[in-house]
Amino acid sequence: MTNHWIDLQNSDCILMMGSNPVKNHPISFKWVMKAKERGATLISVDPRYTRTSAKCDIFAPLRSGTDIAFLGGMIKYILDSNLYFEEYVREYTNASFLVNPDFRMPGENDGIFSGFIGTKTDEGYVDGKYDKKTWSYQTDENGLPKKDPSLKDPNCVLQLLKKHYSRYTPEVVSRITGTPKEKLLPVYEAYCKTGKPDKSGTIMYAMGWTQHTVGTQNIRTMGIIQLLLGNMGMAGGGVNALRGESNVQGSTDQGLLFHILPGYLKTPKASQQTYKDYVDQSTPKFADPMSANWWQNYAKYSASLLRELYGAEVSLDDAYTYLPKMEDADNYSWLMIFEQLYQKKISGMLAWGQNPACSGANANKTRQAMINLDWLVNVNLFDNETASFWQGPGMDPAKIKTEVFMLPCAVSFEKEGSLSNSGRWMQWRYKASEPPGEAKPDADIMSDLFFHLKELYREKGGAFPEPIQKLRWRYGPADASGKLHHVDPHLVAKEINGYFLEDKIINGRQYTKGTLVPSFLLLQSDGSTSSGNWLYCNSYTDEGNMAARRNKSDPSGIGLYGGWAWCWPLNRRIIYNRASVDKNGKPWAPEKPVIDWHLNVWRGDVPDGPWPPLAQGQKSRYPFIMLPEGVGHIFGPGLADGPFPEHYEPLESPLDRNPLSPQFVNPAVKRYDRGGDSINIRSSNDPKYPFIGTTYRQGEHWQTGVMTRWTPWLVELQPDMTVEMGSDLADELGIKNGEIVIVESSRGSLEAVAVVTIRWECFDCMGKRIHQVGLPWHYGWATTAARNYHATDKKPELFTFGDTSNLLTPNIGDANTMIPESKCFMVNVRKRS
Amino acid sequence: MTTFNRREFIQISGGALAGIAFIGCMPPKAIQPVEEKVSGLRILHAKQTTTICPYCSVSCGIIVHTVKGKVVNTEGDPDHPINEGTLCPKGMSVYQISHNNPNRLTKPLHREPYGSEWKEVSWDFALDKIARRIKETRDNTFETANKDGKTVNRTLAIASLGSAAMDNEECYLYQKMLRSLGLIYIEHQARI
Amino acid sequence: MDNMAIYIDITKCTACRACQVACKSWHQLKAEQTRNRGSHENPPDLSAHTWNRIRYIERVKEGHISWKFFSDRCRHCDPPDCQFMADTYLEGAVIKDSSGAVIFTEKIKGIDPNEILSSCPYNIPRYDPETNMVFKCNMCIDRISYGLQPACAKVCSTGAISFGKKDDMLKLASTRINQIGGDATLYPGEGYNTLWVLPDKEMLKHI
Repeated sequence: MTNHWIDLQNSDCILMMGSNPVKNHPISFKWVMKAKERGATLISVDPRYTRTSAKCDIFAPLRSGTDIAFLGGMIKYILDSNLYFEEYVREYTNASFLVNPDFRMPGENDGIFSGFIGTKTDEGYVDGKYDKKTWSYQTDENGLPKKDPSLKDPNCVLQLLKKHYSRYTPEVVSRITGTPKEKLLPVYEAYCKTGKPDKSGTIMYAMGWTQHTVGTQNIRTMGIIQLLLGNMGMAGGGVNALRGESNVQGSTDQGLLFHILPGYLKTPKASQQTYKDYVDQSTPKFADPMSANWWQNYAKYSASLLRELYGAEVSLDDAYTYLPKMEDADNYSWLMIFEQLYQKKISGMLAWGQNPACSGANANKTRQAMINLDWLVNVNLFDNETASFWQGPGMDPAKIKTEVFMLPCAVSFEKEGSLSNSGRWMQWRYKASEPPGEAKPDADIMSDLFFHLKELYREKGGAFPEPIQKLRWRYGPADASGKLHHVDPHLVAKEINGYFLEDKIINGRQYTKGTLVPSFLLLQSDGSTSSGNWLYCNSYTDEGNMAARRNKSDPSGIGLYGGWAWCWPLNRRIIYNRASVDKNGKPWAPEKPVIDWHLNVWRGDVPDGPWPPLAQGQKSRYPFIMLPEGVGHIFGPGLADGPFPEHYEPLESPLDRNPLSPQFVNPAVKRYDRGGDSINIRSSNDPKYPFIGTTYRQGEHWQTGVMTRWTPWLVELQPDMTVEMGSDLADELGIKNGEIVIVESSRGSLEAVAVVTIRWECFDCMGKRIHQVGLPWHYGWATTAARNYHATDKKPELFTFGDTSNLLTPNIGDANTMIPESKCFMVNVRKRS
Repeated sequence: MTTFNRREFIQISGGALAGIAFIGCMPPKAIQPVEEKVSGLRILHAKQTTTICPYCSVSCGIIVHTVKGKVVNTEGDPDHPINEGTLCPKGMSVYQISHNNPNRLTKPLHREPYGSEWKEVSWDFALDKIARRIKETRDNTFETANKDGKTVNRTLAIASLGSAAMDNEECYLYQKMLRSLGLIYIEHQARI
Repeated sequence: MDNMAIYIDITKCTACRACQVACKSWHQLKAEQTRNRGSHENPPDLSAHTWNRIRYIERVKEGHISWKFFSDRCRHCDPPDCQFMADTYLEGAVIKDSSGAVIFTEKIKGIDPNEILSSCPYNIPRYDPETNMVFKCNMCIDRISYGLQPACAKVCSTGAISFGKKDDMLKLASTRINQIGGDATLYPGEGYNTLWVLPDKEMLKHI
């Protein structure tokens, strides 16, 4: 989230699209209701009428997978009616930048952008990627982008935007999305009222936008709208991702993904053989001195990380060598892991607090692949389908070679530590009770494991032991051999914040070796500071543990609660807040100011940098400090699949063609189905699978249900796997409400209780009647009555029924993130014979 | 942390009921009639520890009430600015993921190759075997250089998945350990 | 104690059902093995272990879908018919506290449970053969005696359930009814210590 949960109350219009907050983020709705009480308009856009819709002023249905068309129509509506916030767009975005005249867009270029290198098939281009040479700005002799502040040049970003979305007329949008035109326009009209300078609108989205082959572009489309309407940086505005797990923000911040190190530093590539190569290639350059180009500080953060990992005894160059390097062109994300495992190229797996046997797309492939493991470690609170995969349906334990360990860990209140919520608030939580039996905190388990490994390498040697032997691991009292008995989370939190490793004078001020660095502004590129994660530098300082603060005062008056816990970066509660003020530093919305230039200082939230307002010229900086240009990206050349979002059909579509262009599916996605292996099968526009399937959650369960399926009070509320369907479809299929039916895709099938409802109407797209059905994904065989429980297996107090909806989903990912398309795929529903 | 939140109390004059036994005013056990008095409000003298909900990313405040180390109740933290004492059904149910749930895993379990059942083992046994497995796989597959001769110092034969439910400090330590081993395949819930 | 009341504004309820879990958690009531019967509503009925329950009411109203949620539970009648009946057998089995809470005490074991069940015009109390007792919502009498809110009111995040002095709750209800307009109505009426605001009179058919 650019903003935070409480800030929802400040909004004038809340669009809930690609999310169902009543169900999945229920307490967010406390603040949505508060906004409503203050007069905000609530809009729900969803394939079916949800409990969220039930509380909204406007509901519009749309066919799953057509969000770009829906929102592209909104962009056209804004531009046609001049509803955009002109000063904001001109000054704070790249709308005025002139683009390379060779740049071509899908409407004039066979459905794709210029530069695609790949193969052409009868459904468009595949198996390739874009050469982005033409996705560039025209520059002057100083290397600065050429601009047209009048926004009239046909090659300026705003005019290109207008041209691109001129194709998204309400009639075309309605034919693609299935949203009746009379339901489309009220959404556009209501939301675009937030283009007034003192109004703000916000978006609450979740997996309903990310789990698509065009997931990133769904969000980009909304980002463009928010820039056009001047909603970024504003109280009650922003782009707000409702993240799914308690600490998925924090775990991402800490770099638990293949492509990032902590603080969104980049994982080194094989072509970056030296630390210098790495830093040079990772540091963006931009000629305009008015752009803060924050990432120009890259080397300060990477050096401080290497110092935390290996200390001052190891040179930065050597420490860099210790880091594993990726192949430049390869992808190592989730779907690829299971492809490689399926191909028997991976032999060991740690599934630490995760249940991939249920959570990964194409669960049959995932489960089949797991048979190829020599060993598997699962750390969890309860038994689950991953640790016990060898007992699962269709498995013969006598034929499965995998050695498996299931290790018991502590729940959140049986240990101490911090987590970071969707609004980037880092909050400290305390230990209330001991874990049961021999269960231990995860930190102690990994620390014990690390010392076992270290000892083995010390005794026996082995491949490249230096990174293991030299890794700093000083997070608690150690015995004579240096082995830790218990990880002290405070010591880890301090190392993440970082220390001065030498006495240092910075800007005339003395900092002492061994003291905590008060802010990332003081981190150094020469190795004289350490910091495990620069974004968290300022979270644990000599003033104490900032995440543990419980000060409830709110001088801001807009619910920032700056003294409660801590928030990255630098306790800034609303990011890009310099865009919430005019060039003189006065808030666009004086009733809900985020920051305000007053008597030559900023007051309110922590501003996005200390510089004075833009009217003060060269001393100032543009508001979007993390982007090289310093202004918001309406034209976004950084993505893999186009600088403007374009509608493509999902990999599996009910249509025989893309209504908008000859290009059927996003050309830049990695297509496993084209390899010919039946495990990766795709069935699009196939009469055997006539209905759209989508997956979602229940409010009473969580993720694959590993915790909630073992919580009797929750199982009582939602005991069974269900398939929700419209009453029209149920009538056509002769299915009665409450009956157990079969749902199948070309990859798998499952049993589910039919929940027949008037809340799900069929769509009319391109003159075709299209039904959609929905399945929750929390279920799994391990807690069912049908399981054969051995004496050593735990048996739940209450049983659930059914297995995960991922048995049906396709293993295809978004072109940028590789997040699977679990929100639309084709299925059949039939009576159980 | 251990001070009772007075602001949670509503202003009423009370006490008329002391001494009468009521159904429903019971200690944490199954439903049974007991001679429990109103004066026995089970959280009255309980220790209060603040925590943050382990479920979605709204991160509501929860108070865990313990008596002699045992969890006797959990409810919303009224001082928390986001949830102000309220919770959703998942947040409200965390009592049942505490030690009060008999199905929590309490010992390391081991499944031998081709085995048909779990066996309880000691931590030392489990961690020693896991460390040997990791070392064996790592040593057998470690690439100091790729096919172009570039230094890469990695193993592509081990993958790690997880974990968005761990604390920040644990996530940091976990990736640190994995990268020291040379893993590239480090993924978690954010990718799905 | 002052006369208190639980006030439920069903237009604000999102059916998150935290109130159901809060009730079970506070009163340590066991979970029931349920089945999905084609609705997300569960358990299927009130029971000795389920003292409040959200009912899902899906309607088409003026061409639009209307999805409302009704929290069913003891009305805490004033005066309570159950107490009137119980007193004829054994005084003190059912008491009406000064707070307005209607409470079953252990003495209820001495009364034929069918008499208790049939005395309730709203079909709320449920018999538990294991303990030979009859159970229902007691307004969290232990919590409110200590100045805490009932568990369901405390947990409710959208302001659908409130708890306070009855006069104040009646004022809230009356303001809300005016806000909603149309034929929004108070249910069951002023002579109760659980008060619902319904958005329209047609809802009465579904309750």
